Amino acid sequence: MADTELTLAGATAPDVVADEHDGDLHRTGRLALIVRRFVRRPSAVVGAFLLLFLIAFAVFGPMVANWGYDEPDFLALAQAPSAEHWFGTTTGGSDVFALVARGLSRSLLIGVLSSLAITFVAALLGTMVAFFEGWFERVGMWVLDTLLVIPSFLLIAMITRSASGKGGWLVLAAALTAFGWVGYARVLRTLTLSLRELDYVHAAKYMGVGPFTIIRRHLIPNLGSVLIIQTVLGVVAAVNSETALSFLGLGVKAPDVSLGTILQAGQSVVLTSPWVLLAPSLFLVALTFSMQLIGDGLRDAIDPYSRSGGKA
Amino acid sequence: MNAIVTANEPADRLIRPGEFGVDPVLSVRDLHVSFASEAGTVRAVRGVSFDLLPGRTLGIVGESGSGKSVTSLSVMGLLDANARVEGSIRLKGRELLGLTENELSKYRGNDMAMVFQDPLSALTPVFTIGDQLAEALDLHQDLSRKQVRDRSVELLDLVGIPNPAERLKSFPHQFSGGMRQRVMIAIAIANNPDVIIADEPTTALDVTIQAQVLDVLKTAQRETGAAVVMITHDLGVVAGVADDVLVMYAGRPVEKASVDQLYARPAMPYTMGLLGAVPRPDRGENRRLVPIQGTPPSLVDLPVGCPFAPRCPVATDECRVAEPDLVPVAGNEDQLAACIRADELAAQGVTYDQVFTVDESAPSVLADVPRAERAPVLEVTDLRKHFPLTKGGILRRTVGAVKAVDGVTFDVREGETLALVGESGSGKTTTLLEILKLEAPQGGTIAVLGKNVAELPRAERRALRRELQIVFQDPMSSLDPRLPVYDVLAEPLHVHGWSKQRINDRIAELMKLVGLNPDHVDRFPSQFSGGQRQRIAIARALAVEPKLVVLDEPVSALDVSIQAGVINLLEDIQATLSVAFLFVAHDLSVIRHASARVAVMYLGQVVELGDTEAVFTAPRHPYTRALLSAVPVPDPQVERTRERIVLTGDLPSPAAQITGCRFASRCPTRALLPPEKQQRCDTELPVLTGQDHTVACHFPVSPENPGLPTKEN
Repeated sequence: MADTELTLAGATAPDVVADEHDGDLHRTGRLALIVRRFVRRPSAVVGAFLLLFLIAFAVFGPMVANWGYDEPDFLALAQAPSAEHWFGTTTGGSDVFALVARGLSRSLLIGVLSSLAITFVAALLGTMVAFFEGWFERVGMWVLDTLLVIPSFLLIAMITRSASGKGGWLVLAAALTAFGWVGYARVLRTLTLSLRELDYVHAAKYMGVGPFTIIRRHLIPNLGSVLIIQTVLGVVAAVNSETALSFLGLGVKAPDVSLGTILQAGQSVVLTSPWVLLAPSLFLVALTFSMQLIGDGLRDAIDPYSRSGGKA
Repeated sequence: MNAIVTANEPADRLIRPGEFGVDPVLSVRDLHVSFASEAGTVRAVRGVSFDLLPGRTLGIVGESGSGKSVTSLSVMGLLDANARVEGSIRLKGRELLGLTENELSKYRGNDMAMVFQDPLSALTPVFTIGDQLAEALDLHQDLSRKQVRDRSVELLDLVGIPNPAERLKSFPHQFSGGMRQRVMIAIAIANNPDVIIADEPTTALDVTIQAQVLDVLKTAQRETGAAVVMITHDLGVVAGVADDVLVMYAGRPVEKASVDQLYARPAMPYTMGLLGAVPRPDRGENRRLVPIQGTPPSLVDLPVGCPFAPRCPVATDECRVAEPDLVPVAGNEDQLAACIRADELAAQGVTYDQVFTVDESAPSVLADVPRAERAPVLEVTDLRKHFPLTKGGILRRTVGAVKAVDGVTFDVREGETLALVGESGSGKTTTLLEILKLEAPQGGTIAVLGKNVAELPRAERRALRRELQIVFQDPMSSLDPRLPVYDVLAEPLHVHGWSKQRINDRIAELMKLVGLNPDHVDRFPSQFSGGQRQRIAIARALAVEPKLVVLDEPVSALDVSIQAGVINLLEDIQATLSVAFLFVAHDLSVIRHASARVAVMYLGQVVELGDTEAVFTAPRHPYTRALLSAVPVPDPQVERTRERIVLTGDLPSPAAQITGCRFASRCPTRALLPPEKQQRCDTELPVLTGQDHTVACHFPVSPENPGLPTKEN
């Protein structure tokens, strides 16, 4: 037929899906991708820098301060900020700058440590309970339900009471973790119930991928944004718990300080020496705010559907 | 009980367009619909115009995202608030655009009615069918209670629901999917509408049920004299029901013609491509399917010029300058096409195989080896899987069993494709899952590569996993959205302890094998189109060089033009790698095209098993015959003349206790038998008999005399 002419005349073939390829494969790692997408978001970078600054302050603050947190200046009681005492002093003569630096490092450590530990334990146990169906799920749910009804505040108080001295904060972090994961684990289990029915989880199972690899590679990353928000809010929640316990004299105990204990000291003299309350409050807000920004940035970087980095 | 009817007698073609000066009942002019989205304005419909004459059926075809559903929803005024609709929609001369919700409600359900795709969610579960029918009637008519009841019974009777008076009190969950769709049609025609819009009304249904529902829709149209807009992606359905067809692409109509003209002499390359890409259930020739390269454009930023130009093999530079209008094709003024080369193409009578080119299929390495000499890859013998039915809250007791799989036997040999076909509830998926578990089945045996999986030690079972891989139906959910393609493909390789360098090389190889650019390995699955994702899933399954790949409806989630490319890919892979496929699908046209052998399943049993050609040309089981006759053929000539066996009723519940043949309750052959032979069907379970082409029927249809049972087994 003469028609073949027609198809050739002026026809430009559509792009074929596979181009010519020179054989070797170059690729960007997953971590590099996430970092690239994270950095693309300005607010996340601001949050990261803010957190870095706070960490630097907690680490190097005590070194540059004129006074130690545990050496009160009896010649300057309840003084406003000055060249000698940058953030002023408390009614007892303690340097607020030194106190805040020390308290921030304690609160940061307790908050971040216990929040990370809670997320880790909750994610692992929550997904395991959902993934290994059958008797494991039944026993696991029974244990979770039992743990939920234990009055945790009381137990934490009892545990930290028995611990004393400078190691007390570690015990506090551990106690917060021990009773904080149960509720999260239940939430994560419910989310995993729908994840475990997805085809890619089945596909991995049929490929012979081990159960813990499936949990690590498919289940936990797909809970990613939930976990990140949980960790971030967990820091805030842990700092709150720590403050509340410290306020009651059950958390961090003297001579150790935390943001909570300084806040408690400050709120009684808020009218006469407001700087005692102001400085730790500002740092507390900065800490939670930076965590929030980082959390948002990370969620968008990890989530492939997010708008932040379609081109990566 | 069962009727063999001739489908689509051309008798009630009421009016030709333009004849007798009949006014269109629905007239759409230059309809534009756009949505605001984060990515920009989505221009879903761009300039659709059509006239709908009373009693005629307009088929709107197109792939997903072509704007066909949005068109119908804007006619009904059912679009979201963020949609901007421009143009004109006139129903019997009255403008509908710009009416308030209240004013529109007077027309909806009364002058125009809609049948939705999903019958499961279209009915309210908490009201009885009678209440929902009465609601439709009461809204627009002033009827007494008795009149409402009588009319409801009449409507249910019209759509073929048995015992209509009693069924009025039933709730939607007591009906099957097909029955619910009948109820939807009854509600749609309750007020004698002038326009019925059916949006993919049979897509969610099985083929035998689809045939029933299409017949009901035709009856409904005859009774009400309504014009029907039939929206579907299935070219076979359109060929059977439509008078005129509108083909849409990227939000615009690209071709409009009478159904015969469109199928016989398409003028627009896209229409030709669609017709070339769809597999034919009625042809056995080993023609290669012709895929359309590329994917439809994004509706957010459309290219300048014809939107089909980037995929069109006959596109010229002129095509990329301006978008062509829908204009009559020279020589046939009834046919409209939006293509600057349409006249040229129509004049030369060009068909798709001259426009679209396709690579030759790869030669099979096992072509010369007869089936009997090939090693069996999978042998399933008398497989059983029953799920217990329990009752009671605290003290659970077993009250029966759902026999999901009840005695399934088949084997798959090296390098061949066995298709498992059956309607939903026939046990295809359960069979697959039992095989993939690689554990001792509840009953029967499964042997992979000659090894009985029940007797395997743990380590060997793990090793056997490598030989058995799966491709799922939905490429959206079968790839972890959080892993880049590289990690997706590396996963099975890691399991089998490959080194990093080997994995790297293998992935580059795999990407090329499935026709993807190896540089795209860093992309996430969401950055690929559906067809490309399915290619990734296929690459993953092939990564460890398995002997058998289970394909669970691998193309049913894809558009026709994409589907053809994936089917061709599977053929090539099988030919070069001599891997065996166990192919599960409900689409018989795809099966005829893609498989060498076919096993037809009904209620957990294989009722017929044999070479695809033998089963399709000379089916012996009455169920197979009915199934095959129900498949719509994308050819209006064939659709109009062929005989169709319409099965009555639905699939019985798999929990029901059936002692005899499972198909006896719907069997057209049994109905013609004398009572003593019927007795045998009711009491004795038939088993698969025969040599190469086996059939489980006491009175199979003989090859010499199809239609009547002549041979007694």
